[in-house]
Amino acid sequence: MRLLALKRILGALLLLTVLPPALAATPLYPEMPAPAAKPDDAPALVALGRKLFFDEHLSEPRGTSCASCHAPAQAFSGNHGSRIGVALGSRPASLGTRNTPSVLYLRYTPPRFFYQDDDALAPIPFGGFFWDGRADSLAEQAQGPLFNPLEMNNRNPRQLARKLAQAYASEMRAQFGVAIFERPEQASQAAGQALQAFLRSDEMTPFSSRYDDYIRGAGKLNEMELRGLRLFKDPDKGNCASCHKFNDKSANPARSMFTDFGYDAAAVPRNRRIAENRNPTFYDVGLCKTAADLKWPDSGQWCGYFKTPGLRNVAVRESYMHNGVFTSLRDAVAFYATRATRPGDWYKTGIKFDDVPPAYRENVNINSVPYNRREGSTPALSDSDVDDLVAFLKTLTDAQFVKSSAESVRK
Amino acid sequence: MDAIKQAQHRKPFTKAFGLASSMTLSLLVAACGGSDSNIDASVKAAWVAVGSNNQATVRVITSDATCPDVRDGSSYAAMTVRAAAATVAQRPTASAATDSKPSAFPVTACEYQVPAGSSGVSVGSRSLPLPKQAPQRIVVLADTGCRLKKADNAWQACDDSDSWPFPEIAKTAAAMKPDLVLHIGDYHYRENACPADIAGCKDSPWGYGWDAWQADLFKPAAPLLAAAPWVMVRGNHEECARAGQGWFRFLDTQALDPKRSCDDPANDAAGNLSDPYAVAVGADTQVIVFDSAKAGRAALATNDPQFVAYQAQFQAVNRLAAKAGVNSIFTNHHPILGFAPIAGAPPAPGNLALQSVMQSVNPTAFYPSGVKTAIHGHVHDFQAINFSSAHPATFVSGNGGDNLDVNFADPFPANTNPAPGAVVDKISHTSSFGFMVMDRQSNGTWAYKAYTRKGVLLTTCLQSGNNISCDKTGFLAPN
Repeated sequence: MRLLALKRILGALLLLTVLPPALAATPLYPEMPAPAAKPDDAPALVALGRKLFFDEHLSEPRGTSCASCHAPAQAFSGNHGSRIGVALGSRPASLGTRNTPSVLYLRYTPPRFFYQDDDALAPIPFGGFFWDGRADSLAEQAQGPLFNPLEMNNRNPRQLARKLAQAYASEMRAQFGVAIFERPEQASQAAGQALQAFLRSDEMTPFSSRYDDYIRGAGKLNEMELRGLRLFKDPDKGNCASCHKFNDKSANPARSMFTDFGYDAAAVPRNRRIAENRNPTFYDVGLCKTAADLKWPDSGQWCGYFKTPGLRNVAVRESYMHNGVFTSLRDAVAFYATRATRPGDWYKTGIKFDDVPPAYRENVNINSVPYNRREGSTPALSDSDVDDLVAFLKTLTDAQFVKSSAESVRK
Repeated sequence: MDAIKQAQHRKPFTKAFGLASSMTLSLLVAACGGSDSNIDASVKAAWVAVGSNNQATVRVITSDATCPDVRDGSSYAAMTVRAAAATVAQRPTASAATDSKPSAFPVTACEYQVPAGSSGVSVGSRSLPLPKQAPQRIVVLADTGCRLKKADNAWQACDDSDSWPFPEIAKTAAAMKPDLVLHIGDYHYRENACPADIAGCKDSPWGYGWDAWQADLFKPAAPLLAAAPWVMVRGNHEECARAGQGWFRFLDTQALDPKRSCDDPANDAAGNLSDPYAVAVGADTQVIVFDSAKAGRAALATNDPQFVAYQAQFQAVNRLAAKAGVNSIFTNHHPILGFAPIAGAPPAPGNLALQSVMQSVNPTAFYPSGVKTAIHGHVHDFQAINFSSAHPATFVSGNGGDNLDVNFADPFPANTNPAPGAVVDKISHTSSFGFMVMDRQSNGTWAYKAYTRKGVLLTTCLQSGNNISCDKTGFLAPN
């Protein structure tokens, strides 16, 4: 037995060695994928994707680009001026329910798949894009914000295609053929292809952090950062690496994405600044919506599960967790340390796991160190351990964002 | 000098100086050709294994083509070749063919059955520990290897004691001066080649040949192999499609049978089963060893050949456990009345394949009444379970070095039981690295103690019949 058996039993698949036909769209991989190689995208396609990413004319009304929320200064995360932990869209007061993830390093995120190691009792899901894995590719992900009424708010592909034709006719035709605008759906998808090419380009995988220097043997971490690194790995203490997988023994930074691309039910506190959350019956259930759409059996077992984010540049984000409930990195780390031992510090209503529907609170991970401990017991991490972990996490900031990191700390 | 010549030189000296002290003898032998040091240079591992009928066997792995002599008391005796050096053709393994290779064994496995009453055995300058009449302390560990597995993208840093603490555990346990070591299986985890860009396992031996066995077991375990005789239980990592070839060459205590060697996959059905046997631990306790290497996960149909074979073996267990006045400790790799933790879900029950067969032999009880305790590995944690029903106390000691499993929830979920009718009273558990020690008590029972890898005591469980009482229950915090 071992780690991959840890997550969750896929009840209906317990005795199956292959997924049933209904799950054919989500393959069962025979092995976990190795880090993705550099894609062979044409430079012109990457350049087009870059222009689209920063183009404020592609929203409705105009004025919001992908970069408005995925702000370069914040390592391609951010919330477009919103201060409630979730992003503001192109229309005034159009606020979503989820925190904007960084779009750096998405080259390495695999499509959705199941994997079952030989000791595991059932296959478990990995990969996919968005917090709930509802997109299977970067190109598919890129379509989401373009048409989401709470984000860039294009009504339909026809409206987007018109904008693309106005600004990018020659480039689009050069990349996708002269007839690309004859079918708006195809033009929209082509824009997704271009955005995908940019998002998985070298520009979006800088690997320029102090941590990267450290694993390459070109730099050192100080004592506090090294203590944090040890705590991050220590299965008795932080145990962070059990989900935020990395390999500090490899000089190849692609082996240190700080995620296993899996999902976990961490039960972060409800973000009461989100308007929808004023409705006591509203819950963001995460992966189980995707599971239901894809007709995975017993989709309810995935309610409360959200994707384990990579932690590169985590220190320059302005809010944390899928619902943006935390505004400081230290709070995010401290939450893991004391969620189990002092739940009252986090769940202000007195209801544990208050952002998970009551029917699904049994899905919450109460097993992994450090949140396996009994209420009232000594936490696995002390306050100084939390400080050390934060110090280590700050070493994951790429060089071009270090200033942003310092500003973020001052905030 | 080869071993045969060494023996020819030695034997006259042995006869002439039968009463000489071992040190004097060694010096004399050394003076005649430095044979001990030559032997030492060739011997890659040496230990004593205990098998059926309490037979102690000296096992030596040497780079020489022939076996060294063993000194038994004041006499030298020839060891027999158990397995000559060979490279076994590549067979289907648990990995893709492109990630597998032939198993190279450029070493000779030697053995010598120690006669009852031996006053001491040694090979070269190594004195080997013989079984004691009444062992007082037993070290128990399992799941000790360093995981190199491409399919899982799992590359444990074998060079880092925090990542792979088995070498530290072996040293810590050896320092406790055990009289016996009980390894509950899964010795070998280095199945695939470490990627060149990972320094933590770069250039590690891999596959199922000698070099991987040496790196995963014989080198790190050397202090513990030198400290006490071993009883070796087979794990699923030693089934035929994995490290089964090395299991039969080096560890299995039965005579090596080519038809059960795992070299030819056509014979895997036979190679993945072994008859159970008992090892006496003093006059009042015995350890019953059961091979569940290929048990699988699902309940078996009664007409499944594996069901039929296991059923006969569990009937044999019943006969072994029927010994009057003897407390039987059942050992196999897969937990039967233990649990597997799952994050965000109730723990999974014990092994359904074995349960399905055991229920056919001992309905509701699973075990014969003579079995008071069961000890397993496989799940990478420590579990000590007492039942309010009439079932043997169950331990899992699978936290010996490979990547750990998650913990159970604390408090343990109510009304969660490992098998129908087996009602959990209390459970103590942790998924920190460590091992277990059994200490004989003055009243003849055993105290079962969970230790961390650094030797910090986490809990002590005292036995009374088939019950245990641990001084700490629930999650055992290692810090």
